[in-house]
Amino acid sequence: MKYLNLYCPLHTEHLWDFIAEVLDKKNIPYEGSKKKNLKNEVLEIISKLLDYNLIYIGNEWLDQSTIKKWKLSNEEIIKKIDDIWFESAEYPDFFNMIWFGFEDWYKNKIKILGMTDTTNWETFVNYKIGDLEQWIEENRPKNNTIHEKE
Amino acid sequence: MKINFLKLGLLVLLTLFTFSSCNKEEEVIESTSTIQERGGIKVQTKNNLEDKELEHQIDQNLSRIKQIFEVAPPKTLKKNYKNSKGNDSINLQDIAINTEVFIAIENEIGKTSYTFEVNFPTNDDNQEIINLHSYYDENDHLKNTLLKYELTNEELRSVIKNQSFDGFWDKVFYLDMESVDTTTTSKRSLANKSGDPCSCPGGGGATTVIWQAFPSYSNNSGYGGSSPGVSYALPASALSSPQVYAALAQAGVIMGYGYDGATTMNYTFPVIYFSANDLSIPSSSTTGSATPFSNLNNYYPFYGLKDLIKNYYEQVYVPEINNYITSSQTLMEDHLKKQETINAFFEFTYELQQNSIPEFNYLKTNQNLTRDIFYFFAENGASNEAKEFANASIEILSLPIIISSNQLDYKAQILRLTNHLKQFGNIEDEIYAEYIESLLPEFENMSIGEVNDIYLQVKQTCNDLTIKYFFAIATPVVTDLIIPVVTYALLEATAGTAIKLLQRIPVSMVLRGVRLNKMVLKLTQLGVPGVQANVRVINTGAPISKARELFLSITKNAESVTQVSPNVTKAAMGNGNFIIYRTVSSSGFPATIEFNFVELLGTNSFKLKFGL
Repeated sequence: MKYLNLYCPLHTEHLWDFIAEVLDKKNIPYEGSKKKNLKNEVLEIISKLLDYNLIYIGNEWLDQSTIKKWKLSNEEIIKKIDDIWFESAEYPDFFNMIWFGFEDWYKNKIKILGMTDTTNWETFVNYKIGDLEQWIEENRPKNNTIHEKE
Repeated sequence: MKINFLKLGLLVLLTLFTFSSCNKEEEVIESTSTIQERGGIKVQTKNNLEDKELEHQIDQNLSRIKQIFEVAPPKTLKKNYKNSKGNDSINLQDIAINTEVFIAIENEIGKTSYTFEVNFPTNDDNQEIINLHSYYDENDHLKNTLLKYELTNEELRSVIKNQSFDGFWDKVFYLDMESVDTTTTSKRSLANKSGDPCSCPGGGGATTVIWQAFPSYSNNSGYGGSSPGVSYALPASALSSPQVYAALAQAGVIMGYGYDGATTMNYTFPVIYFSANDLSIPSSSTTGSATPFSNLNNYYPFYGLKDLIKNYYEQVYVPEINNYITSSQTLMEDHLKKQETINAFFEFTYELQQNSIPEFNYLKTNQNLTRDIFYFFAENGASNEAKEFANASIEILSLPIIISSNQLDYKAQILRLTNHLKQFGNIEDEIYAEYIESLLPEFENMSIGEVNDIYLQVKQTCNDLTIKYFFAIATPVVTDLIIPVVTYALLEATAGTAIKLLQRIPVSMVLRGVRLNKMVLKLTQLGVPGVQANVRVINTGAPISKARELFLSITKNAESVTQVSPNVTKAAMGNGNFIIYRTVSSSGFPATIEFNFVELLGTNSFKLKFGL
C-alpha cells in the first residue's frame, strides 16, 4: 500500500507529515521537489483518507490534544487546504496551517488489535491486518462521508 | 671471502648501532648478554673488563686519545671558549673511554677483539662516532685502532635501514694508534688530521695524526652491482694500509683481502633477521642480570606479557600496504627499536613498583591496561612526559568507586577526574570537564543518589577517555561525551535535576555544525522506537519540562527562535535545518521535538515524542 505510514493514527498530525512521507518515498528534499505536483499528490492522499472517514482536520486547538474540527464536506476541506497552502510555504509554515486527527472508530479498532505508540506500524499492519484498505472498507462506518458544516 | 664481508657488515654495524643507540644517561645494564651469533662470530655487549692486560691499556689508550684529539679533534667536539679572542681549548678531562658498555667480538678461531665508544663532549646533534678497537694480532700483541664515523643523523638512519655503509665509506675513517708518535709533547706544533706536518716552535719532531679514509666505490663504478641498498663494492685492500686490514681481520672485523691491489669485489649482503628470542629483559636492579626473552615467565610480573611482547615483536610494518603483517623475521633496525620499547616498558614498571605498590598491583591485574601502556611506550618512547602520563593514567584508572552519603566526597572525586581530563585531554574534553564542574554547585539541590549517578557517569567517561589517550585516537566531540548526562537527565533524573543538567549545557557544546549535528544524531537514538523508524518515544516524568529544557539547550546557538503558532516554536539552525518544539499533539503526547535535518538524518521528518 502506497504511503502506508500516513494511515498510522499515532503518527500523522500535520501537513508536513504528508509532505515528508511523499518526499521520503521519492528520496528528494522539499527544495528539490516540484511544489505543484507535490501539493496535488498530498491533497489526493488527504482526500482518500477523508473518503475512508479516517481523519478529521482543523486549524485550531480546543486543548493541547484536541483539534477543533472543520465541519465541511470533503471537497470543501480539500479546497480550503488548497487555499491555505500558499505556494512559497517553507517547512515551519506548515506548522501554522492545519492539523489532523484520526477518527475514534479507527483509533479504537486499531488499539483493540494491539497497536501502541511503540508498535511498529508496518509490522502491525502486516501481521494484524493484512490488506489495510480492505480492512478499512469492512470496518469503517458507511454513513458518515460528509462532515458537518462549520 | 664472501663470509668475511658478511661479517664486516654485521659486526661494524652492530658495533655502531649499539653505541649510536645507547643514550649516555641511560642506566647501564650490568650484565653480559649475547647479541648475535652468526657464522661462528659471537658478539657480546659487556660491562666488565675481564682482560687485565686490556684494562691496563685502557688508561694508556685514553692518554693517547687525548693527545690525538688535541692535535686532530673531532669535528663536533665542544670546546671551551676562554677569552674574547676566540681562542678555544679542549677540556681533555671530558674525554673518556666508555668501559661501562662495550662490545666483545670473538671470531671463529676464538680470538676476541673489543670495541669501546670514545666519549667526548659535543655540541652537534649529528652523529660523529669514534670507537676504540683493541685486538690481538697474530703474535698475540694487543693492538689499538680508532674507527671514526662522520655521519649525519640522516646518514646514520640510512645506514641502519640499509644495513650497509654503501655510499658512506668516505665518511668512515680509521687510525692506527701505534702510528701516532705520542712521545712528542702536546705543546709542540702538531699536524692536523690531513696529515700535513707543521712547524713546531722550539724544534723537535712533529706528531702526525692521519685518519685514513676508506676509498669510495659504488655500484656504478664498472665493477658490477646489484640491487641498491643490499650490495656494494668494497675497496681494494691494497688502497689502504695492509696493517689495518690485517689487524681488523684478526678481530673478525675485516674489509676483505685482495692484496694484489687490483682486485675489486662486489658482494651482496643477505639481510640479517632477528627473532623475539634475541630480545633481552632488563633487570629490575642495577646489579642484576638481564634475562633472555626465552626465560621470561608469561605469568609474571604481568599475566600474558610474554605473549604480548612476542605478538608486538612479530608485527612488522609494511609501507607498501600501509599495514602490519605478522612476521618472525625482523630487521636489525626494527629489532633495536623493539628492544628499546621493552626496556622502556620494564623500566617504567620497575619504577612504578618501587613508588606505588597499589598502582603496580592494579596494572598487574588489568591485562588490557598493561597492553595499552606497552603499546603506548612502543609508539611514544619513554620520555619523562610519557612516563608522567602513564603514571597519571594508572592513578586515575585505579581510583576505586566511592559510595558516600556526603556530596563533598563526590565533588572531590569528580574534581580529580575533571582535572585529569583538562590536563591530558583535548579541547572537547576540557569543555566537558568544565561543564561537569559547573554542575558541582547544584549538587546541594540534588539527592545523594543523583549525585552518585552523575559521579559514576563522569568516572566512566573519564576512564574511557583515558584509555583513548593511549592510542592518540581523536577523542569524540564533546556532544558525544555529554549524551550520557543528557540521557540521564531525560530518562532518570527528577525534573529539577534534569533541568539543571540541561540548563548548564554551554553553548559551545551545541555550536551549529559538527557539534550540533553530533548532538542531533545522538538525540535521535534516545528513548525507544516509535511507530515508525523516524519516531522515537521518551517516556519520562515531567515530559514537558524536560522537552522544553532540551529544546532550549540544543538551540542556544540557533540563528533564530520564534513562535510559529500557539504552542509551536521553531528554531532555525542554519543550512535550512530546523528544530520544532510543540506541546500540541493529536496523538496525545504532551511534548514533541521535531528535527528537520534532511541531509544529516536522511529523512524529511524526525520526531522525538515525550510521554509519561
